[in-house]
Amino acid sequence: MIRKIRHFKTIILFLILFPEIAFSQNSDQYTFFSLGFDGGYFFPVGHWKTHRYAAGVDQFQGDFKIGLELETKITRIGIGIIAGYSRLDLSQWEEYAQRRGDIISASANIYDLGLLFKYYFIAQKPSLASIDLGFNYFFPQGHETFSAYSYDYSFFNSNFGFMIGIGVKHLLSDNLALSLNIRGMLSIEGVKYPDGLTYDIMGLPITIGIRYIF
Amino acid sequence: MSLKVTFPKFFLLLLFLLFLNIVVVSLGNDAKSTLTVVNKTNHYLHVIVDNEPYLYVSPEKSITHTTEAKPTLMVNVFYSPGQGITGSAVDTIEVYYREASTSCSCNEEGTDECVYNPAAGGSARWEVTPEDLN
Repeated sequence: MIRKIRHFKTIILFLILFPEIAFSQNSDQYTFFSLGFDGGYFFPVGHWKTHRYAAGVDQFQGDFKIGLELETKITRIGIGIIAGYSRLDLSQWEEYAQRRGDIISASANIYDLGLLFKYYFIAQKPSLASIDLGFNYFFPQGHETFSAYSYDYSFFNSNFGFMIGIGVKHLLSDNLALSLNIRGMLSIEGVKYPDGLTYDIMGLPITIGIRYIF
Repeated sequence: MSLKVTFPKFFLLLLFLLFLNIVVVSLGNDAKSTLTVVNKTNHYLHVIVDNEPYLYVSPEKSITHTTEAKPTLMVNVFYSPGQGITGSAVDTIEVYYREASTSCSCNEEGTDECVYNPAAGGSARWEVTPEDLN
């Protein structure tokens, strides 16, 4: 975990010291404050989504994601506060268990809250594009009912993590913009089984949204 | 630096360290009960101890549940779903437990001297076999 934090600090330092490069002759580095609403899909990535013993079964599959973003942009730097909710699909696991005679009902989701740093490498109206780096806290949770038993997915572990990706905005007017965000996420040791096995939760949320610019 | 100046500082440091030790000792006296459940089957198990779930315990692995000192712990163990096998067991595991108490005795001066005995807990172990889950 310390190595991952060091990498993140290195990337942040690089971002701050990154020299101003003119991608266009008439870049518009205007300042704004915006509130955004996003919707899209969350793609789980990595070993954490596969089932412990059901071969070839993804216990956690992708589903919808929604989010909220509050951002302040000054010249080429943006700082935002983000909150999100990603639902996970467990139907493949439910069907697998049913084929083996066990009726289960399961659900899971991930909440996240974080701080986002953006560097706008394209800042010319009407198009803006940024590299986004986030420091987040993730709250995965899940629940399953099997036979007479009902239990939470206690192997989910709320923890800090990171987001990195690209954000694109297209201004429809001075006060409204469309947005597209593609950001990979990682929650450190987001899955910790009681017998010791541990995984990071990784995923790729892709969302589109609108931005109200003030 | 003269001894007059250093001695009070040293004494204060000693008092602080003594205070820390007292605090550590008193915190360390919190009584706990511990239960270890070992999976001696060939399948994954779900273990629920006093409503706290421990899921997907793999064969030959164990979990340890720690709680405040209590005389018994309720345990539900069942085969994790989707393995093509069913079986479960419910048990109330007894753990050594001593309630907190205060004992008083009369000293030579005729006054009562009371000693507080904090609660004490113990540990237990359950190795779950396929026969337990039939």
